[in-house]
Amino acid sequence: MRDRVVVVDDHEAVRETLRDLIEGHPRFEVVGEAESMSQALRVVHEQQPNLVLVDLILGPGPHGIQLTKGIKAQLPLCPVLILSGRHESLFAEQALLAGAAGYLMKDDAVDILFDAMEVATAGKIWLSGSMLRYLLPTSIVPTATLGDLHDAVDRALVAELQRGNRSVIGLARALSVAPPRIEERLVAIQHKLGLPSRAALYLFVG
Amino acid sequence: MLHDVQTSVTFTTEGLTLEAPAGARRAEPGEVPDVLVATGPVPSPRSPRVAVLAVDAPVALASGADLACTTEELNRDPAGLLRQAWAIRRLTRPLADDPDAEWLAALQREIHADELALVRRHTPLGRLTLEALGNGARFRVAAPASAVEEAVGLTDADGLIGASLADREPTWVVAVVSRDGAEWVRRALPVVRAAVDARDRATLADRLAEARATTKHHDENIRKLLSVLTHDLRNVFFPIQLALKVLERQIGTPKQMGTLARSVATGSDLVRRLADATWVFGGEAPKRHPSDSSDLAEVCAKVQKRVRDRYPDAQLNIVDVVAPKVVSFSEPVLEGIVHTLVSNAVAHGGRAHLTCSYLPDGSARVLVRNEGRLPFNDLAQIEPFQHRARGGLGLGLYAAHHLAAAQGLSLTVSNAADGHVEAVLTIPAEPTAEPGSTREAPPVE
Repeated sequence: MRDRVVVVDDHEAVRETLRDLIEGHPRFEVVGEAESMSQALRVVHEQQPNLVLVDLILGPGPHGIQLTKGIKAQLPLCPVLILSGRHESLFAEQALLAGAAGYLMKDDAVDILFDAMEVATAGKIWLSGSMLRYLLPTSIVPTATLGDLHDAVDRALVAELQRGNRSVIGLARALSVAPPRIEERLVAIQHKLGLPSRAALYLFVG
Repeated sequence: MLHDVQTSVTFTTEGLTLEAPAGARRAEPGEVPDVLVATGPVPSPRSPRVAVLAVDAPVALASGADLACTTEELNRDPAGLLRQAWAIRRLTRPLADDPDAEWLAALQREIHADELALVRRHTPLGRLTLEALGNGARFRVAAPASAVEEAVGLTDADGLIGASLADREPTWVVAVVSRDGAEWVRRALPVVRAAVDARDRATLADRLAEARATTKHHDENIRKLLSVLTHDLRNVFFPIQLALKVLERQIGTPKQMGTLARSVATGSDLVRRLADATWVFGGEAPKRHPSDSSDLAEVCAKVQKRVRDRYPDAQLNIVDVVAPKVVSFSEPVLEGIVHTLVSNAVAHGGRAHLTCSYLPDGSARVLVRNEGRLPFNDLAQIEPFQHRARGGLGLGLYAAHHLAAAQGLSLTVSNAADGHVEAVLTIPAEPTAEPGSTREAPPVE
């Protein structure tokens, strides 16, 4: 059974060629397309995909990062990959914090798209080597391990993060805990592990 | 000469006796005098034409007297004080009320043509007027408030008796002089010139600021246009690249596919250069971030792929010497700079060598050497199109210089001893505390 993919881009040519390329891969099939945030949320709700590819800029309306939050609120475990012509150093971290499973620059995407899709559908985060080093530098030495987390909510949170559930709303729903408490625990875990940012936490855990 | 101009001041007195001094006469009954000499409060109402000289009544100044003095001072120099009071009164009256236009004409006759021309040149709007006033002269100049200080500062040096901001409008500077002779008229001119210069400078400064703001606005619009264009161009090439991938899968790689692929690679490459140029010309070349990190081996590999996609027949040798390969600088910027150097070398020289080496101090050195015959000087200039056959526009190297400088890197291009062109990018082991400025790129040697 192939992974079901929805493609969201405001350029028809991009959607068509992405569909053609993906359809030729034995592991994936395109089950829906959209060109705007509202249309994308409707298609995602109808199709319940395993993966959504989202363009960062969707015309003059809300952009891909806002859409990512919306998708993760609907389907917390559905990975979202953001594709963009804008450089990763500008938006990749925001994308991760919104719950995306990766950020691909269109300049490089043609060669790495399927690798990224496979990593994302496995619940992991896909980023370029330079972004990984930027967000989680090798100079960072965590002050604790995941095994040092004793709070039950914290352990459940980490388990959800490892499943690919990275939006606050999705985590709150999964654990039946209010979003402010989720935020509070994420900050606590980040500090306990000695990590410099939420994005670094997602990378470390994932 | 000024003696052709009326110098006589008419006066009346109230509360004291004063004999008419030389240069003054008592007003006839019914005649409105130029000056009222009084010992008491300033009469009210009073004609705006009449000056009030208060004697032994200092508080009269606060109630509208034009000048105050003691009896002893009045006895010592009655003519001078009468003229001064009258001069001050004239200053506080609007020019339009002054019927003595003949004085202005007389003074203008006295001033040499070149001096008048000088003053007129400074006042193209014609807001400078010269008026004769007894044996004094009054100058009004439209000037900013800062000119007041400048005019006052020159007062003593030019021997003027006083300069004051007589008019309530802050743009007027008025110099009051009350010496005899045409000499002091010429002396007053530097004050006027200073005031005019200050006004002109302020006007020029305002116009310059306005021009700068307009230019900045235009530059910002151009930068935004380039940024949008770059983004939109990427959305043109991305589906083409995707379609090529599909076609490769379906029909393999016939010759025409290669042509398509190379053209797309060229177009994508030019879009990236456009993005670099947008950064540089918009003054926004990215500065180094503390978390920046690049693997030079990955940078070289990406550059090699981009160059070979565009120039499949290019001969590019990469020599990568001994780890460590990670440097603390931005990977996209390093890739952009190295790619510019390598593609320049390949495009214009045919063959290129790329060498990464590491110096004992921990710095890294990326050397790109071409073996073509591109004249070095062309790389430093933006050439007109008709010379394109000999070399490129030089724009890529210009952008590379600025990108390198913004990151605190050093980029030099020079002729090697054997005539080939060498470009050397030096990457320091430890970034300096302040990233390089985008204003001054390293010079091309």
